[in-house]
Amino acid sequence: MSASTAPSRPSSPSGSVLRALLLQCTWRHWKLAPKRSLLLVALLGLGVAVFFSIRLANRAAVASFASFTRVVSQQTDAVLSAPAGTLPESVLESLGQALAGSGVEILPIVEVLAAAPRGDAEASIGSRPPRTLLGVDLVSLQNLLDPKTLDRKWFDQKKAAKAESGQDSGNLWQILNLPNAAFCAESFAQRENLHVGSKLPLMLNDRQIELEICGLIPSAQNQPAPPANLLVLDLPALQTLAGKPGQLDRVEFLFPKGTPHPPLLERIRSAVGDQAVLRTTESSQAAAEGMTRGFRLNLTILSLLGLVVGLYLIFQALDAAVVKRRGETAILRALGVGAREIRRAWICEAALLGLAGGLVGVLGGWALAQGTVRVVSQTVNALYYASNVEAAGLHFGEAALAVVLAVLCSVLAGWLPARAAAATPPAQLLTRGNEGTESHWRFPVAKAGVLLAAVAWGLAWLPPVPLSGGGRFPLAGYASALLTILGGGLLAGEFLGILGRWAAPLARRSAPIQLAGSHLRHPTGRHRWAVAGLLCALTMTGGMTILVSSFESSVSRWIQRTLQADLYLTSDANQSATSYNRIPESTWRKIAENPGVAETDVALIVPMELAQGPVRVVGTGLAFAESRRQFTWLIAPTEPAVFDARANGGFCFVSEAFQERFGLGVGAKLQLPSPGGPRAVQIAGVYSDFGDERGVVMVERQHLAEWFHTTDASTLSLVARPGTEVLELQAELRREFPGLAIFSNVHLRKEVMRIFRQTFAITYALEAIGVIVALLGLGTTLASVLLERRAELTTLRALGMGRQAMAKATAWEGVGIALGGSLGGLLASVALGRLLIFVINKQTFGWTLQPVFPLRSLTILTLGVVSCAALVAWTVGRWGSQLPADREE
Amino acid sequence: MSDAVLQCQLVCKSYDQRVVLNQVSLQLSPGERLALTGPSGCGKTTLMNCLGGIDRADSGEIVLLGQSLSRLDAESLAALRREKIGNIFQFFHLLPTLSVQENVEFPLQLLGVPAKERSQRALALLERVRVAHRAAAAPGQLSGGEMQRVAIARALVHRPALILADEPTGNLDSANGANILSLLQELTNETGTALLLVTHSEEATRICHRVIRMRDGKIETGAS
Repeated sequence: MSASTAPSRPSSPSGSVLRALLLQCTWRHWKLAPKRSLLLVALLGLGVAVFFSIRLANRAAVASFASFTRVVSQQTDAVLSAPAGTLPESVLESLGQALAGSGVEILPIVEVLAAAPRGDAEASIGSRPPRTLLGVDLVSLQNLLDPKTLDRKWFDQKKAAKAESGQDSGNLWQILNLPNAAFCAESFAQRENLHVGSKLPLMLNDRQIELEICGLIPSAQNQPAPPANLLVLDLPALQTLAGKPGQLDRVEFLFPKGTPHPPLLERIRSAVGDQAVLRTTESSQAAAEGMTRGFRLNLTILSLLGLVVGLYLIFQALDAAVVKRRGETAILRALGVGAREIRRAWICEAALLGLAGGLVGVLGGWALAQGTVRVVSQTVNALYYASNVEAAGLHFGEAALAVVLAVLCSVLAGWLPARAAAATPPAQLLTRGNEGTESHWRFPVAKAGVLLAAVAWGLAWLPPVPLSGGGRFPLAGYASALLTILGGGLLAGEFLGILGRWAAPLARRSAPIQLAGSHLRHPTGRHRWAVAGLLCALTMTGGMTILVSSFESSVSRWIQRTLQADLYLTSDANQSATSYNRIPESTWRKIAENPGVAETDVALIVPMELAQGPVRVVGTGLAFAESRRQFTWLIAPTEPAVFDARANGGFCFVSEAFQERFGLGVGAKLQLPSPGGPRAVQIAGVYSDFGDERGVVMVERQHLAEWFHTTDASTLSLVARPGTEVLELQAELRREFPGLAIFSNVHLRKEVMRIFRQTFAITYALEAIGVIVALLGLGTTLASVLLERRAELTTLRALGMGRQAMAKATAWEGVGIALGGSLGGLLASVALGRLLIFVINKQTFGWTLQPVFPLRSLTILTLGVVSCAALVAWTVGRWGSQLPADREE
Repeated sequence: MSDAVLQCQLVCKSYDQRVVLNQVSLQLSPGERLALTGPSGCGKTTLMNCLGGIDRADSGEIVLLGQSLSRLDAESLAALRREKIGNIFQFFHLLPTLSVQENVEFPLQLLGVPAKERSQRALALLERVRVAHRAAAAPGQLSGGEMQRVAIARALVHRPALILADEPTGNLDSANGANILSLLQELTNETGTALLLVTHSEEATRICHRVIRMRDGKIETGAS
């Protein structure tokens, strides 16, 4: 036969079969049960959405850091800052001389955080978003920017901040002569209803200031939109307002295009010597990212829980579908469809589900991110740096990652059901009577569980992975946690047999319990998966409950010991972890002299860039603190001189987090940078501190104040004179010093605990989703099991078992599974809790926690899960009891 | 009032507009053995499901021991089944997770019979059907003949008035089939239980007092 007359053959028979299976079978099944298909896609989409939203929120919170200069100038090339405190303005002269003729633009910057005035004196810390005040040389900026790409200029703006005002902004000299002229973002002007000439009150240091809006921040086509919390002032004006005359927070450099950077960087270094730290802009941004890397990694890992949940759901749903379509599969096999095609079709179905769920999840996640970004931003704000992100943008790279992960997870989840479908024995099924056999999943489950638990135990002893900037990531700890959960999941099935045997005495009295117990004594793979799903959810929730309770108990004890004064005062503008507004000496002395005040402790906080990494140095009255037993010593100082202000200039104490992070303990020497040069101090003691995961160095305030030539205070602690009504004293001070935030002991303790709980908000939400999905998984499992047992159900009906009794039997079976999962979960959660406390927390934050076993919470959790499981199982049992008879002629 | 165990008058049943039972009437007296034969798809099993209260007739009336099934709700039908009917199936349908003895005891457990009495009655019947030595075994460990013996024991253990047997020998070899039929005959004679036997087998019809033949949902011969 010639080639031209040969019958046409399909190019790919296997491909044709697959296409036919997907179009004729899979798609039609989806169409026949559209609600179920949509629900499955929606549930998977929820998992993807949680993951995607947290990734977007993390990205937005990080992007909010250090992007302020960029929006008003261009992306600068290098940043110069003091290792501690501020740079003297005189540094500009040295830099000008060193860079003369190089074409380098020098941008001196002052950046301070202010806050909107409070409405409620008892408002939560951090409840008012911080406002970043950026002081720049406006004239230089005007000349620097390319007028062709700008939407407006700094001066003589034809349109004012709010269009309808019809008022033009001021000209150069008008603005420069105003002591409080500020530019704001257009979005901020719209939101706050501001126009040119509007007054904007703000809290800064110990007082309220009033800015006058003189125009909108110009933006260019290639620059990001100005953030809503940014206000730009002329440099001298902000120096005066912030009490930083002659001081700069940093100097940024813009190098001429095409010029090699290293020689220019070298010229800058030689001009400033070792009194300043020079970084490229990239490394500066990387340092900021490094600061929150641990936090973000933890959140990302938690958000992966959403995807794991999706994976579990896909597995359950596909497994149920395999059971339901077993007859069809047998017919297809009999018609000549190979096992490989069947398997491929099921894997394709899983991948399509993953794709649909991924796309839905990306859309949902983007919407969800607008909410989670605020929670993440609040936590970043409270713990790391000022962040006031209110919206998360859609990032295509992250979206692609989410969709790809969704598809991969779905394919992974679909693998076992696909194998089960391919293994369908057509002959047995088509001759009937052999349904419900589970010949697949021959796996030494218990042995694998023991092996995983042993590996988990070994991993718990490995050290963390060091991150740049001094952070540490407990990779082995997380792997150990994962294997603990998986090992527990594999072992959980063993509980079913035990429960089934325990139920034997009860079974003799009740037919439903007899039936349920007999099924538990012979658990199928599906039973094992359901109990494993519940165990995983319970373990994670129980483990976190143990961690949070231990944390809460330790933090509570710590604040009871640390916060012993009656009143605490700080600048009302301090609404973020990086707000360093201060109280001038004149103010704090006046407070100290109040007749109602018996004792005052003044603290000065200075952020520093040590050779080891960034830390916070706190100067306080060490003797005062020790006399009130405020320190919880891990290694107590032995030298009495360390508490003598006249003799302790060469000593410091460090927090446990510092010791863990840098590996420096008692006896080690530190070089603390100061305007007068480095100060050598020796670590004399290590104390417990849950306030700062990056570590704290504590020195005598008197010395720190001398080193930094300041008499200002960061915080004040007041002890009321006996007989003085503390609340009356608080009210009096509030009236007298409206620029200060004054908290009572009780309120501050509550605030610390609130911020502490806020950091776990997302965790709780994710765990709740995990438990709900595990219960849904239990329902799906029981439905699959009942579908598989249709013949048995018909027999039971023929034997006279009523619907109620059949539903009860299923409910008891569900209770058994839930009890197995819960009891196993409780045991595994103790292991996970200890791992979280002693390994993951210790390696991430460096904190020693006293373990607490919250029996009440765990009992409520277990009872809640078992009750919900009984309800779910009873509902499924009712449904199962009404399945049509399976036997037809 | 009739003393019939079962009376069935003009029963009709359709599935998706396909008539499966068309005005079927029959009657069964105490101790009587009635064979129901006919080609596949003629409606035998559907009729049996309707007679046993597992399925409901669209019209007509079925009266079992004086109770009209159409007037009973699902739970009452279940109660009637567990008290008055025993079932035997072609594929045995023993509960796979219960032991042989537990399977036989199960109908008694549904009736709330005390454990001791259940055990005694189940073992006695297992002895009678000659599988007492396998009492502790799981159903999967038994041969087909043994499984059907256990199924017969389970159908009789609660002393029902009527046994519905659907092709009880259909899945057995001829020797085992003959043994089972002989056993059914003996036991129904002993207990006076009525038997409705759905079968294709000529051998099976021989133990029956009457034979009814069905075709296309109707009774062709032997209804009276």
